[in-house]
Amino acid sequence: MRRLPEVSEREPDDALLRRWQAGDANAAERLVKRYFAVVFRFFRSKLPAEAEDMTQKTFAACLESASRWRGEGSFRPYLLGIARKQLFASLRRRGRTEKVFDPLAASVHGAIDPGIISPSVGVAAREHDRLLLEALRRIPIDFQITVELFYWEDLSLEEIAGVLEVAVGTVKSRLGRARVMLREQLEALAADPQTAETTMTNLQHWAGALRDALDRPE
Amino acid sequence: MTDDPTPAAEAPTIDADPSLDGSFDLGARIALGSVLARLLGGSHSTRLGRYEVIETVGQGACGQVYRARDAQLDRDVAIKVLLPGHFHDDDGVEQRRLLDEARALARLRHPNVVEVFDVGVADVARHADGTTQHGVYLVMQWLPGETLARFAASRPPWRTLVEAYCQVALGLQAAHDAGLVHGDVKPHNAIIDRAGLVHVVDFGLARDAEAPSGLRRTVEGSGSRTVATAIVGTPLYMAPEQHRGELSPHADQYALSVSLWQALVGAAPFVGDSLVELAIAKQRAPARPRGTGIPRALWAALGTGLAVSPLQRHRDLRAWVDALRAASRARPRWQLLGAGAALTAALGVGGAAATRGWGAHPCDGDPLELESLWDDTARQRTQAALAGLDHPDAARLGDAAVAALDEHAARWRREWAQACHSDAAPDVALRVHACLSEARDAFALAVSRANSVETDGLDALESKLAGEPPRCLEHAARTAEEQAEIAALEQVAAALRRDLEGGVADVDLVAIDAAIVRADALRRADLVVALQGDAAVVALRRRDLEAARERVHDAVLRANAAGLSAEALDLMTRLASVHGQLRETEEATRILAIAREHAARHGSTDEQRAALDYAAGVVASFSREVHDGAEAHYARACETLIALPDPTSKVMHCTVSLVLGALDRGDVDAADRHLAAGVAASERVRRPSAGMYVEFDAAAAEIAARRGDFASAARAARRNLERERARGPGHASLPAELATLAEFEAAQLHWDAALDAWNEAIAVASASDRPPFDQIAIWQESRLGVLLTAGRFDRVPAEVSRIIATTEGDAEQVEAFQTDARLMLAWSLWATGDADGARREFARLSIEPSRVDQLPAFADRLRLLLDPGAPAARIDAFLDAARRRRAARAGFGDALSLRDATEPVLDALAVAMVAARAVPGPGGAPRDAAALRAAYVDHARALAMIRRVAFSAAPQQF
Repeated sequence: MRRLPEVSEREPDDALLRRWQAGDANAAERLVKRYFAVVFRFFRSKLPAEAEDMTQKTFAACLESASRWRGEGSFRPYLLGIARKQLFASLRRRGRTEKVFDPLAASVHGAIDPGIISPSVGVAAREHDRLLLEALRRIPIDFQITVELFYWEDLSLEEIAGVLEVAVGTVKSRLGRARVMLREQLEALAADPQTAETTMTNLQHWAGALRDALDRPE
Repeated sequence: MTDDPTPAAEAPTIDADPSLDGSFDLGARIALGSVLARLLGGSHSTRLGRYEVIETVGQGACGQVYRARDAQLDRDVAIKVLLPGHFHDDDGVEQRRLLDEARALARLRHPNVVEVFDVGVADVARHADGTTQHGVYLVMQWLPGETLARFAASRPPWRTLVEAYCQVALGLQAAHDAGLVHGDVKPHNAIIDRAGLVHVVDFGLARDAEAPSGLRRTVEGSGSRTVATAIVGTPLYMAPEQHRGELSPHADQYALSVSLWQALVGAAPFVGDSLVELAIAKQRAPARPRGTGIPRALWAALGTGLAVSPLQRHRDLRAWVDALRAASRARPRWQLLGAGAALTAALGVGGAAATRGWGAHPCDGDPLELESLWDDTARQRTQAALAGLDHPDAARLGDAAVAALDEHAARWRREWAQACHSDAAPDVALRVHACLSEARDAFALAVSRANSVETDGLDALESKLAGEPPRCLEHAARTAEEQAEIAALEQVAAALRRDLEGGVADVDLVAIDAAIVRADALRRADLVVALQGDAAVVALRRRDLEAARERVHDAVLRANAAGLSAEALDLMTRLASVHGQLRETEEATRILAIAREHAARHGSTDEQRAALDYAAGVVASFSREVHDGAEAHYARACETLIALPDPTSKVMHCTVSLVLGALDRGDVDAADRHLAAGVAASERVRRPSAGMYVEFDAAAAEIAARRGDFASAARAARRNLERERARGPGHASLPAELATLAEFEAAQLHWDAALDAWNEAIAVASASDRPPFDQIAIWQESRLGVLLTAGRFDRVPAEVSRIIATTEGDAEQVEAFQTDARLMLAWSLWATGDADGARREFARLSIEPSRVDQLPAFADRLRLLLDPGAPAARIDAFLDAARRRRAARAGFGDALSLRDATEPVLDALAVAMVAARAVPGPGGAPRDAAALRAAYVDHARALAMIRRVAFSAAPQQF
């Protein structure tokens, strides 16, 4: 379900950012509160133990590079682009040096010590969503991000392309491939075919939306 | 708290903030507050009812844990929120069950179980569409401390670990008695607080009969439990029946046994790559670990706890505790050493003793955490970081800061070593180790502070890092009275050390011994060792070498037993030196070897290695066989000490030894060089000791005297004399300095100045508590010699009587002085023309026939001279022989005793007097002044050599 942002009675994002740059703590607080949940759940589905830390780093980095964002497009993709870079930096740091970090090959599940307990993500309180989340964590990271941005964040294909720094066509093909990978993971993870099916049904809805999106002229 | 799962009016809710977009659960809300605080400063805490949530603490197995402040009761609490999303719970059954269990836990009151203050249901999440979610929350005791997992990693003694786990067991037993089972017992679920009390936390409230259905069961069989996200139980610790879904109190016993095993050994008793492998491994009894020093009975008790069938484990956890505590009481072999143990056995050197030797004690070495925190790499990193700051004095300040951290680490290690070796009761030991953990954290903080300091903080860094030394043994184990007494004893020890460094001689050893007894009773081995070691130095200064040896021996044994390895090394070195001075060369050499081995095993500083070399030099110089090897040892010691960037006053000792050795060989230039090197190094000494300059000047005087420049020698001696006088009364060295000056004055034929000096020396020395009679006798004899040479024969008889009185009834080595004194009396009588009187005295000497050949040649000379009919030719022949004897002993190097040393003196005197025909009447001047002067040079040299021998016999306190 798309939720349109309410524009009335709200100062636009770029104005808040400029004021934050100028040292206005109030503006900063409002901006952070506006987008905290977005960034936080981005990290929660990948590095839950460091979600708070990484969220803070993302906002700090966003302030630093504020002069580079000239208000084109929405603030959210800009912020998520920074978040993605922070994620990769963190994953690179914890990886072994001989392995090159490849977001198209490495999954979060593989990158994190399996001993760490992954908590239930508040957003995905329902079990099927949790199963989906487990499956998502097992596909390569950039595919996971692509799916999440589309499914949960309701970003447009163009916006997703901006975050991932690829062409729109690439986004489409990734979404398609991701669907296949997810199905595989769900079938492996689900306790019984019934559960897998139910979850896939959710995916179908999503897939339907995807189809719509895919069919939309660019 | 109500029974109704719907939230009551006062139940905490998450505050609704319209500026928050998106869905928020409590964790997210708190994270937001934390992020805002970090980005913008200020306080952005979240309120949960009357609790103000400060920060997220961690992920429990079944929910988030937060730290919060209860403003009403003014205390910190931990809030655990159980998110319901794990379970399908559409009709609230699960939530009710959770509440029931949480309430049961809240009713439990046991010191080893975390206290639960409040239980209820609250809104814990708010979704984007405005709907809220309920969850069960618990408000619990806030426990700062560390988990038993981390505690075990710091390698406390095994008894301490057993005691800690016994506390866990007692807490679990209380829960079992109340009908609760933990279900997830593991080292991470027990916290030891700063007071050493262990608390069980994280009761497995999330356990349920059915696995979360979303995930595949990975173990075959009915009712098997999935562990893909470790929600219920942790596989490594789970009892075999728990794998099948059965849960009983015996499962807690199993998990506890696994945890303790892991803590003691460092590895779990069962391992497997998959759940299946693990389950299979648990079917077999684990192998008993070897070589840990832990009694078999303990492994047997644990093994019972690890029985595959629950019915074969201990009846309950009380029985578990009893079995373990009984097993703990067995004493390991190395603690059976008595105080009288021979040194080699105590040190475990060589042979069969090596299996239980010193190095095998589990307390040896540093605990891992401190080692990685402050090892060479860390040190260099910090040093480089500080030196690289843009500050004009960065290098020096950086070094100072690093030195402060070194000191901090050393103090921690000492406390740890002592704590590890103390035989305090286990519960006390637990408190001590909890305190040590805190101190270690403080050190970690200090290191990180040093690593992150900015340029403008560099100046203040060193003072910030000089923290309080940990006082864990004190605080944990002592009553207030004991603490006060210990403080007093520490004062005593510090005062003694100060006195020694200041050269004070009047020390009440009776009081020190009493202090040692008290310190021993209070189990402060470090104080005992310090007091005993310093008391040994007092004994050395009083020239009571045997007493010194006993004390140092005792101190070495105690230092070893207490794990004070650095002190033990210093004391072993000193012991070797004392043995050497007692001419017990074999024993000394053996101790040196033990000391070197100890240094290799436990590490040593450059200074300690130099001290070993120096001690080897002392041993060699006193040994007749290896006498010549001494200089090589001294040279090595000096080399090491001079090369130190920050030398101490000890560089003086080896310099002086080298100077004297060179003078001994007659190599005055070498002596000069050694002295110059030592003096140059001494300029880099930051805290010169009182005696350092004195010794250097004494050595310079010696060199000057050897060159015949007695004027310079006398000047140096006067400087030292002024220094001694400036230090006030009570110092043992004043008479010696006076005597030294006297000799140099006499060598310049300044008779009056020489006599004045000797008079004062003798007077001061005689008036002290313990007059050094043998030294006084030497000075009296020197004075007598001057009187004779100066022709003041009228004073001789009185002088001789004084000498005899001084040496009467004292050490047998001065018996010879009496003989010589009578001879001198006879000589002087003859010199005054009273030949008959001379013959009478000579006859009075009851010289036993067996001792005839021990008589000095002087007696022969006198006999000759007393012979009224002695022809001139015979006298000339005698003179020739005397000169030849003198020439043969040109270096005086082979005189190793005071007795031997007097020979050349008397020879020289005889030559002088005969050659000068110094037989004038009263008031007459000698005829051959030049010959007399030359003879007196010899005399002075001989006396100097006597002094050197006396110096060697003086305390070597390096």
